[in-house]
Amino acid sequence: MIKKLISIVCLILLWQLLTETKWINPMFLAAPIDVIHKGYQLIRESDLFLDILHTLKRIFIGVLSAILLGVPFGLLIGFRKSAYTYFEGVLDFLRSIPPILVFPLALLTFGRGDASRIGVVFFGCSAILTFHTAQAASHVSEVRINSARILGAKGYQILYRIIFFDSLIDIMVGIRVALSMGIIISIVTEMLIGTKYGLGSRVLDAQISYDTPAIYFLVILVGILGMMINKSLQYIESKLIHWKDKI
Amino acid sequence: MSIEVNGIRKSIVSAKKTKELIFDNLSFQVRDSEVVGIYGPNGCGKTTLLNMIAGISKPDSGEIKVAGENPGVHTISYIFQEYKRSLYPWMTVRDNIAFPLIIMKLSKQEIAQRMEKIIDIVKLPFSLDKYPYELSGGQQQYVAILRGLISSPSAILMDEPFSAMDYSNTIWLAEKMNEIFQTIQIPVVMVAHNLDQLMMIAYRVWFMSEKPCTILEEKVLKSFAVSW
Repeated sequence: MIKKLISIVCLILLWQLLTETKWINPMFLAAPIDVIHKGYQLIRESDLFLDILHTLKRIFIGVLSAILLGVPFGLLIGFRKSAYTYFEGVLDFLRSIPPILVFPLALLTFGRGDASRIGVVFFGCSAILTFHTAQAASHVSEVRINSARILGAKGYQILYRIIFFDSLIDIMVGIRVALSMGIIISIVTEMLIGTKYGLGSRVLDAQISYDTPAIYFLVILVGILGMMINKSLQYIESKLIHWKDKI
Repeated sequence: MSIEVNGIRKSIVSAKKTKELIFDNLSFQVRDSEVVGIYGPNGCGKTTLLNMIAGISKPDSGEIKVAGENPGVHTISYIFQEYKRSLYPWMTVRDNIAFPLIIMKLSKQEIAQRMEKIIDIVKLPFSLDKYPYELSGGQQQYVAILRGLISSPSAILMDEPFSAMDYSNTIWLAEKMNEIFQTIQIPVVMVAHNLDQLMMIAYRVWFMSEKPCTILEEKVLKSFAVSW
């Protein structure tokens, strides 16, 4: 922890030094103190919390919908290996499409509201989650499945009592990847078409008004939010999947 | 209740993509309360034989009967070599043992009664609230055996149950197994490629040949005074 703090403090000191010496134009690199001041101003005088709330709302609704579809579907096709061979190519193809590319299509379909942004987050994350889950489910130990079958478990019981739990470690990895993807998609779509609230549109506003400290503050804020989401997931994972690294 | 194998024939496709005959007209019988050890070279088909008795795979021809029925009709307890993979690490020891009853959708009260009954007989030396990964190898395999026994199986099949264990765990588990097999009245088949391990448990040992696998010789190790 101390080592991590030291590296962050060193980075800030180096940043301050670079801006003090004016080696880099302040238009491109704002001083840390100006960034902190700007952050304080944004928190006090603007709707920053509403921006954060709207961005998080889009991410969570999109990712949650993707989990609700991708995990059960991935488990089903991963369990039935013959089905997985049919879907593998399609999933790999969908996973390879940059989600932002379908944003214009989402705008045409759902209009300029939140639905189009959430739709793109859902599209980008569901392919990732289905793929991760199906991969995990198709690699569940045959011994574990056979032992349950011999003990009298039916197909659906094997699916939700064995395959699901045995795949949980990889499903959580998929959720973490999907959330990172969700943050990127949500913010980029906010930047593409103006929306009243959202961190992406706030960054774009700052760029249009040449407000470099605000851009830096918002970039750091998004980084902190992403890190907090990731750490929270890691914590949940360590509590939920207690057998990880122990078998 | 017994295991009867009558004239089974089984071929498999080998790694070289050629068809290999592993059993040709194999017949035997394992009676109630009898522990039979099967000893043979690696790859002779011992595990395939257990899989056929368990109903995981089928013989090409011939007949297998467990307690008078085809494999898969009656519950069979199958103890795998890889005990870590056969147990469910997300469940406590209690839930692992009760798993066959949970999937049979028995009431909580009935599950508790059956658990109490089995715990009374075996006197577990560890807490039921632990997770499998908190136990030693021998204790984990013991949990797998108890899980197989709780649903009153018609037969017990054991595939190299000691192979992933150290000596002290093997001795401890062999003692526990002997205690159990003396109290239950069902046929037990144990496969191993270590004769010492078989001799600790089995009443009779069959020495198997290379493929196609046949019983070369039988050694009676214990003259068991049971009712059959």
